[in-house]
Amino acid sequence: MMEGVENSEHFLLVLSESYFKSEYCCMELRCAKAVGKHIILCHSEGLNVGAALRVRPREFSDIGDEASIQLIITDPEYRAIALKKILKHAGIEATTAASGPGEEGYKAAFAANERAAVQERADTNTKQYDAQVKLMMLGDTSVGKTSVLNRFVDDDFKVNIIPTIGIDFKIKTVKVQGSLDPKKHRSEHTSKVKLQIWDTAGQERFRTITQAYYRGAMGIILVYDVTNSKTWKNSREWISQIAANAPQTVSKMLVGNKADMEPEMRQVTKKQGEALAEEYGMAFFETSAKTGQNIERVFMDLTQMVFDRLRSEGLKLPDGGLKLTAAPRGKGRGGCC
Amino acid sequence: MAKRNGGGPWTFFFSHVQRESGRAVALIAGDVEKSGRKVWLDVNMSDRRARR
Repeated sequence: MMEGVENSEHFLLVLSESYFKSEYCCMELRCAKAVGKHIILCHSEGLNVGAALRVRPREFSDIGDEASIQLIITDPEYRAIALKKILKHAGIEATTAASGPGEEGYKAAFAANERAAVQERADTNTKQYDAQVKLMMLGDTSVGKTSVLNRFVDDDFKVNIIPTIGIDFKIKTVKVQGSLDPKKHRSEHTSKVKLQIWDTAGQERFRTITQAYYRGAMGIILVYDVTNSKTWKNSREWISQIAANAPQTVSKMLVGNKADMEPEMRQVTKKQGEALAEEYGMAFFETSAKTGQNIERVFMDLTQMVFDRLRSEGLKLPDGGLKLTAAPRGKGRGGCC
Repeated sequence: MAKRNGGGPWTFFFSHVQRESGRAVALIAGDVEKSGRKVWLDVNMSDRRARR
């Protein structure tokens, strides 16, 4: 076994419930660390990674610094993604795996576009909202963007979800304070806003697809994982991407997700999150998609920010900039999805 | 495809608890091998498999 470890370029640690309870696994890992092997963390579908890492001996406390690769074997497409991720972590992606978004990325994007178009065509006859607001979720892979969105739209949470391919969206209609009619006082009226929330893949290879959607965003939720400092550091890169691709006026919110995790798992303090948000003039919340902490506030505050901005911009524009997003309310039944 | 554990050096060493992640690892290791990389996987080491 030691021969295998010593003569292998990369050490794939496949985390499972009893990994750290296995004398042999610990021996292999100890050997890998002793000879300075590159360690790649993976786990099987359905594993509670946090719980499995929690029992690791102190000597392995650095394991888990990097996001774990989920080995999904039930779906051939996702199995191929797991392979690509492993090869990428090993630095051999370019020669063996596609570095771009691939067919599945474009297929997902086309499918999402088609669904959005169908949705919008259906809306033309039964407008049930006063304005439509497009929001976008950004951030590194595995920070919980989809979980945050699922909690807000469906009030649902799954420990392990399939990584987003390319881009997808969800719809929810909410009420905000104020009216698009400038003659009406803000505090005395509410408006129905249809949210179209675009959920993006955090993986680098999908960047070419997701960047194409920035220009249509009115609000952006940038998510990092409070248990992974790398994702917090990478937020600066995401902010640069937003500045380069999104409209200058886009409303932005920084979100530190997984705030429910045990204090010993946390790598980014709330103060660090707040400081970063303040530096870039962004609103900030720590959230937990698992418990629902602050999820509603993130979306509602951002929607209100966007709505207020659109309202004030509309007031300034001579030809009524709001016409692009505002929609007359129809007579049909309510509902959004 | 190279013979599994059939002489190093290897690109990847799979460290896992067989009863918990054996199937996933066997499939992914197969995929890795198909991509032309050599893999060390201890599926044939029955003495250790029993104890894991």
